[in-house]
Amino acid sequence: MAIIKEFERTDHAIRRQHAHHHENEPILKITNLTVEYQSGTALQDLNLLIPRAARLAVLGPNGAGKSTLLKVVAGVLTPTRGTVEVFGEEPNEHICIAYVQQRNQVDWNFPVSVRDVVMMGRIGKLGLLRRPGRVDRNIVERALEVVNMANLASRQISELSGGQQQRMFIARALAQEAEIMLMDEPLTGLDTGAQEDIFQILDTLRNNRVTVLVALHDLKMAAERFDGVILLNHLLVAMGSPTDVFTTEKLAQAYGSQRVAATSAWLMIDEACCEDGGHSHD
Amino acid sequence: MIEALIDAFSHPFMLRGLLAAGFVGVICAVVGTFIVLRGMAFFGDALSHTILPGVAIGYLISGRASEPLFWWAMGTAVLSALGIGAISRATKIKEDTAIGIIFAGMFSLGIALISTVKDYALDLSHFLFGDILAVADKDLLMIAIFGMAILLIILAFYKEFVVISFDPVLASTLRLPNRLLEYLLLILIAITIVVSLQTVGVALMVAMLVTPAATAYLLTHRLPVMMALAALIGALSGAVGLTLSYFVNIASGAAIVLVATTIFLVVFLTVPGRKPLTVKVSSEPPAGSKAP
Repeated sequence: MAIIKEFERTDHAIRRQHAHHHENEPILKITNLTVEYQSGTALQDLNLLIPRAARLAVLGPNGAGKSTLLKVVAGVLTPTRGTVEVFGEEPNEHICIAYVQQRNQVDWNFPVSVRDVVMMGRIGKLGLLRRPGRVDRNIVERALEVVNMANLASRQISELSGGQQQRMFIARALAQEAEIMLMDEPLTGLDTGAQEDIFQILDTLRNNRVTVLVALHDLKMAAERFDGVILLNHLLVAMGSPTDVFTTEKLAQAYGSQRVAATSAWLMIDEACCEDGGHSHD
Repeated sequence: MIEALIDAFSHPFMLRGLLAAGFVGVICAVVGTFIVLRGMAFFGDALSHTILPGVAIGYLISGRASEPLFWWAMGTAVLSALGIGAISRATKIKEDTAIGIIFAGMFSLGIALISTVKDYALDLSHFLFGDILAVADKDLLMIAIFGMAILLIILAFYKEFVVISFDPVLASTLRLPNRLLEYLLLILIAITIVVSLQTVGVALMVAMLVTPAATAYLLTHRLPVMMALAALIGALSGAVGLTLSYFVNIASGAAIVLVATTIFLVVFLTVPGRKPLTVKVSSEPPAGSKAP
């Protein structure tokens, strides 16, 4: 039975081809989104409207639904209720959404090179039974150059550092010609230099009008390096500029008032936001 | 030495056996590459045992004629593969537990059915351990046709199989028909097992699926090279094992597997820790990582 269903789904997908982009629709519109697992509710009644080319941080305590949100937007998880529209259509009709999952989700001993992995991004465009041609190879080489990994293209993937692994996945998203990029904790476990490299690439992406959603833990980084933040705790606590969102009250709503009050770090971030918010240093 | 070899393979049954062993070695190794990379060794072992009741029913109905047995095995193998695939998705029980239950139950059913025949022990042992010298021209043709079909399908869907094995979540965002491809791979494994049934038998099957591919995995970082090496090792094991069984007078299925195992051990001991030597990443990747 499962197979018949799958045939129907595939047939449907092939006949509809890939979704059209309605340019005047917002790139991402989420309406009354609820996702329930057997273990409980991950997201509840979420409403979001995300403008094109924004770089947003998705924040919230562990288990607040950050990964769930990214997966639903990527179209790899079906919502229990509500709708997600990318350029006005369902995400699972699009191949322009790249999802970079946490690094530990991948078998790094898999016998593939960096170039092989980046080439995987082309497969959606290629279609069944077709082999990559010169256009695909050129796109892959260019993607590798953008993330500054052309010299590592032939390396087996287990020989990469954490930052290089992350950059390889970004290159794969570029090869996919993604317009929305979803990244699940890409900066966790990277040193400052490697994080800086990633942000440089994210700047390039912004210039290319790519919308980027990044699940994060680090509030300070969110405040300093992102256009906006989405603060989650199953519900949407707040969305907006870091200055607007990082108030003691809203943070307490997301993380629990005791934790916010007890941890001076949170308050420090609060102040840091204010400094960013327009104090002149002259 | 050479003369003895020429003499041995002047027997038509030895020549047919050689062709069967070589071809089965290649098919098993190529399909086995995905089994090793996806961590499906237990599934392969279970699936080969699961087809025994099908073979047993064929045996009760039409005796030892190999063609009906082939189709009975084929039907059971494909159904079992799909059944195991579905069950491991649908229940709360962990996948390997579900497979274990079905595998042991079906295998027992097969033995029970075969044991209703008087003097069943010899035939049972042929199903369990193979009977390569009984391979007839027609069997060889079946092996060749289905073997070519398997290799062609793998060639056609190579890049898709690689992506669903390496990163199923990526495959989803690329809108590949993941589920369909996974079932296709299960069916290919099922057909591979049926094609190899006469050569190594049910009980030793997993060795042909896993050992050459694992040996190749130790030798290279490139997937196409791994496949080619695995095929070479598989074919070599088949040919050398059969020859060995002729001269030393031991069971052919066991001889083939022992040769494959020896090659693995030699490589394992002489290419020490090529994989572990590579730079460790900070977080330990889970074996056969799957999408949640």
